[in-house]
Amino acid sequence: MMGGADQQTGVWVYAIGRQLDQPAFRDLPGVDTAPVDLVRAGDLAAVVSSVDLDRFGADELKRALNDLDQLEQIARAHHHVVQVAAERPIVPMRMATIYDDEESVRLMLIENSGAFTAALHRVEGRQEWGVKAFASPAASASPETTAPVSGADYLKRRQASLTAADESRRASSAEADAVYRRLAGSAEAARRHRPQDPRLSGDRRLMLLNAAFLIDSSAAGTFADVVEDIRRTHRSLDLELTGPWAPYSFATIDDTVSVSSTEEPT
Amino acid sequence: MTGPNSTDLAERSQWEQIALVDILDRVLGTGVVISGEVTLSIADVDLVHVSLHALVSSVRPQGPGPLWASRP
Amino acid sequence: MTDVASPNRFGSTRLEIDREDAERGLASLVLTVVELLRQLMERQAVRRMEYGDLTDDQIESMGRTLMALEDRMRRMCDDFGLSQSDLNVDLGPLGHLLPPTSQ
Repeated sequence: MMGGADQQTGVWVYAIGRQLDQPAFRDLPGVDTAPVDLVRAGDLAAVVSSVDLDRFGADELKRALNDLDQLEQIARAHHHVVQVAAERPIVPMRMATIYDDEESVRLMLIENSGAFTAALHRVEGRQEWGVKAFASPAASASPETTAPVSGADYLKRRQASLTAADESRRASSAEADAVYRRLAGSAEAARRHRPQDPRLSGDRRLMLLNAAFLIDSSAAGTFADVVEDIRRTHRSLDLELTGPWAPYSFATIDDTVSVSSTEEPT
Repeated sequence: MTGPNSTDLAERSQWEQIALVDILDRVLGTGVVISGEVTLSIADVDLVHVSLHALVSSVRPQGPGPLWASRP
Repeated sequence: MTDVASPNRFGSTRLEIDREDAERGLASLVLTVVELLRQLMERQAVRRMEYGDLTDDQIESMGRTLMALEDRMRRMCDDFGLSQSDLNVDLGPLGHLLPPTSQ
């Protein structure tokens, strides 16, 4: 049995599913050295692995997650397990959800079985696809060839460029909203995430849309066609399509809603 | 077939250079959160204290986004 | 850093080189704040001008001051070897002080 205070280990949960097969997870590495396993309760199963609290206890984990290299390692390892699990319908857990022991996990499954079953039903046969839209590096306004001839001229030029910049921002934002609405119309569910931090993405372009869409697996091709059509008709936007993802952005369970269950980021 | 050219989606997710930002959006910002018998959950791990080295935005949806990107 | 003040072959010490980095870091911080204020002032000036309660002389004077300020700013950045994109203040969860594609 995993976990237990005397053993200095905890149980890291990746995802919840139904009728999951052990063989799919055989030899799959987890976020720590222990391999992935299943904890079952009824027809539900939690995909888990044991973690050493020396490295995954509260303080240690906080330090690790604030180190970009360690954060990346843990995030990718967690994500890989989730994607493997997503071969079947699953509800991903928020990263770094750690339980005392197997029994606690089992209890959690039993207490929330109705909610999980409903959530699983919502994502069954569906995938998440991500769409990001950036402002195309615009043909920048031709630089001033002459210097301002007076103080008043300088101010007038500033006024013109500020107005143009504001207008451009407003138009881009409206365009991104329109794109989101169109894509949402082609999906079972849609959700916006906050714009990505350029320091983390290394992308200097202005991000106008960061959204996730829940699509019937059989309709993925149609969705991609819609994205392609949007690319053609919205030349001032650079669109990026990612996926298929496990249904991360649509993993909400009834009343015990996930913290990020709102459609729009505030 | 395993490795970067795997046709297996899960395999590809490990080998393919999926952008870390895209992964973080999902593993940090989404997913089920259940209180109770949890030893530790991401909400406890105070990621609002953005280390300048970590460069990770706040995961709390109520947290502020970049100043210029706040929606009207 | 074991040998704090060991001279290199150019005569300057390693300590001096670190101080230059520190100065550039501080300059970048200060100049970013100044640049933010400068941009805010320009926006405010434009709004004042649009409001229509200023005389032509006042507009001219305001414009000349801001023009001189912009010029001064550019020269200060040059002095420190800082470009526009070098300027910024990272406020962590609050993002950056200046917009990513400023102006």
